[in-house]
Amino acid sequence: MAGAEVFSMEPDKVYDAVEALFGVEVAIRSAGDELLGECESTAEALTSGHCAIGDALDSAANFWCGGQAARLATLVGNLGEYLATAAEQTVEIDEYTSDDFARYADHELFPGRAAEQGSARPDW
Amino acid sequence: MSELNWEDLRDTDFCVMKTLAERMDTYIAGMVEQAEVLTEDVASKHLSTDHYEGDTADAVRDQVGYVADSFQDDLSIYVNVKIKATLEDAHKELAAAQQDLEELLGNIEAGKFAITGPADDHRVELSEDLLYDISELNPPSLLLSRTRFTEADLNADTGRHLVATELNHAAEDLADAFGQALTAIMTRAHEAESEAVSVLKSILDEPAAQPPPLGATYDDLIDDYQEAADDRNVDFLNELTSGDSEATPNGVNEWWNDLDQDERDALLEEYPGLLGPLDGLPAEVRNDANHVNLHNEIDSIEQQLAEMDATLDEYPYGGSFDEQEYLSLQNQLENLNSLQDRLETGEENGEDLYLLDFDSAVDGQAVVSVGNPDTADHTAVYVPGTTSDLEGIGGLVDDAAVIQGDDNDWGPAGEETAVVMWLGYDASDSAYPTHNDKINPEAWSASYAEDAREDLYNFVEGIDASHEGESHTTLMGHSCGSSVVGATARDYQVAADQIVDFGNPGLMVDTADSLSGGADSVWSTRADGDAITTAAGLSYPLGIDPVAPEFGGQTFDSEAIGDGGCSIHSGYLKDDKGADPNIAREHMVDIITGQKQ
Repeated sequence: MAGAEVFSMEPDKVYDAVEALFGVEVAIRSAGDELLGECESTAEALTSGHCAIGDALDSAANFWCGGQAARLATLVGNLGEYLATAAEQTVEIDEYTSDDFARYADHELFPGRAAEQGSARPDW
Repeated sequence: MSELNWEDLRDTDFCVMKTLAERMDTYIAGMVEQAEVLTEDVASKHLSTDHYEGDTADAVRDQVGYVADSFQDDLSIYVNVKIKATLEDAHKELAAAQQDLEELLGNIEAGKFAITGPADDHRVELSEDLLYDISELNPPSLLLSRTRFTEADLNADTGRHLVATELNHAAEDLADAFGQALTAIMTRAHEAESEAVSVLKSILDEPAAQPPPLGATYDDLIDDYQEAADDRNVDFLNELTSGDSEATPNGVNEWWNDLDQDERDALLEEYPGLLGPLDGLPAEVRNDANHVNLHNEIDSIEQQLAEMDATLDEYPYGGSFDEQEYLSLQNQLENLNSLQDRLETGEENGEDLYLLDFDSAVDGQAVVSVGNPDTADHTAVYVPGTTSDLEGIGGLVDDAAVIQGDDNDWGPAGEETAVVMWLGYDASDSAYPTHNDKINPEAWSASYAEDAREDLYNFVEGIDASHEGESHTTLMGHSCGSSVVGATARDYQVAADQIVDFGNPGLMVDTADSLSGGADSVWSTRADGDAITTAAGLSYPLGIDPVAPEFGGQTFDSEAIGDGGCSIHSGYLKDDKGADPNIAREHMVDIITGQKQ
C-alpha cells in the first residue's frame, strides 16, 4: 500500500462510513443471536421427537451464527476501526502506530463499543 | 441408525422446520440489506473517490467489497442452500410421510387391526375385536371388500365356517400389507432424515475462506483470498457434480438463483458439462448447456473416428487399431445424431424441445421435455420401458409429444402442459423369456428399476425446485418404466401429485398405499390382450398386479389398439382404429391436468 501519489480525505465522510460499518457489525451480530435462538428451539423440538435433524441443525446454526457470520461481523468492525484511525490521523495506513489505534478507535470515541479489534492494528 | 419411530413420526410437529425456513428468508433479506449498506452506503457513497483518495482509500474500498461479497456468498451457500433449503425439503418429505402415516393408521384402526409391539416394530396384527367380529361374520367393510363375499353371504345359513376362514386369511394378508406400508413410510422418513442430516453436517467440513483482516499481514494474505473467492462458484459447482455434495436439487436451485447474471454466464460458458445434468437448474439453462455438450461430443467422436480411419489407412492390417472401440464409437455417434436430428425436427405445434440430460454410453440415455417444465401449469414425467434406448429416441420423444399435444388440445383452456420423456436409466433389453438363454427375462428383474430410482427422484425434485410457482406433476410409466416409477415412489417421498401407469406388470409394491402419494394418487390401466398380462400375474418381484382390486389403487379404461399382445402393449398412445379418440389418452389428459382426482 505504499507509494501513494495522491492522498485526500474528508474526515466527516469517513466518520459516516465508520458509523455505518459499526451499525452493520451490530446488525449482523444481533440478527445472528436471534436466529441462533430460534434454531436452537427448533432443534430441541426435533430432538425431543428422536429426529436426528435436531442435533445436526443445532451444529449448523452454531457454525453459522457463532462462527462464520460472527467472523464477518468482526471483519466489518475491523474495517471501522481502521477507518476511525484513518479519519483522525488523515494519513495513509502505513503511517499508523498501535498507539493510534488505542487512542482513536476506542470506546471514548465510539461510546458503547470497545475497541477489541486488535488484529486491525499495524503491529498485529 | 435413526431412532425416529412411527410414534415419533406421528407425534412430532415438523412444521417447526417450515416456520424456521420462512424465518430464514427474513434473516437472509435483512443480511443482504446489510451487505448493500457496505457496498452502497460505505464504499460508493461515504468513501467515494470524491471524499477519500489514496492507497489506503483504495485498499479499504476493496476490502469493503471483499467482505460484502464474502458475506453474500456465505449467506447463499450456507444459509440459503445448505440450511434453509434442507429444512424445506425435510419438512416436505416428513410432513408427507406423516400424512401417509395418519391415513394408514386410520385404516388400521378402521379395520380393527393393531400395532402391539414397540414403535420400531412394524408388524400389524389382528385385534381381539377383529377376531371376534370375524368369528361372528361381522367384519369391517374394509376387510369384506378384499374378499369375494357380499353382505348376503355373511347372513346366509350355510357355509359360515368357510366364510370365516377366508375372512381370517384376508385379514392376515391385509395385516401384512399394512405392515409393509408402514415400513415403506418409515423408510421414506428415514431417507429424508438421513439426507437432511448429511447436508447440515457437511457445513462443518470446511468453512469457506474469508477476507483477511486489515493489518500487518494483509498484503500477504489477500492474494490467496482473492484467488479462493474467484474460484468459489466453480469449486461449489464441482462439489455439486462430484457426488461429494449433499446439497439437494432445491439447494442447487437456490444457489443458482443467488448468482448474478455475469456469474451464471461465466459458468455456462466455461462448464456446460457440469451444468447440463445438474438437477435443480432451470430447464433453459440445462438445455443450453446440453446443446453445447451434444455438439462437442459429436465433434469429439467424429475426430476420434477420423484419426482411427487415418490409422487404418496407414496400417491396413492392424497396428494399434481397436475394432471394438471403433464400432462402439460409431454406435455412439449414430445415437447422438439420432438425438440431434430429433431435436432439430422439433414439434409440429411449435412446442419447444428441451434437452435436459443425455449420455451416449452403452445403450444411451436422454431426458427431453416437450414444453418448458419450469413454466407449464402441469408437468408429466414419462418413463418408457423395456428396449428403450438412445437409438430409438425419435419414437420416445414422439410419445411424449402425443401426451403433451393431447393435454394442450383437450385440457383446460389457457393451461400449458409440458411432458418430459425421462430415459435417464438403462432400460432392460428384452421381455422375452428366452433372451440371452435366461429363464427369466431381463424385464422381470427388479434391478433396472432399483438402479434408476434415485436418479428419477432427484430429477423430479429438480423440476419441482426450478418450477416457477406452484407445480402440478404427474409421474407416468409405460410397461417396465412403471416399475421404475413404482420403486421410486416406494422408497422416496417423490415430488409428484399422482402416478399414471399403463401396460404395467407391477409397481414394485403390493398395495397402492405403499407409494408416496397414497392409494388415491395411483392410476393404472391395462388393455385386454396386452402381452404384459403374463408378467402382471407373477407378483414377485414386480409387485401385485396394479389393476387388481386388492392393489387398492384407482383404474381407468383403455382399449386394445393393435393386433396381437405385443402390438396392443405398444398401442396405448396410438390413435384409435375408429373415429373415436383413444379413451386411455383422454383419461390421461384428465389426470395430468388435474381434472380427475
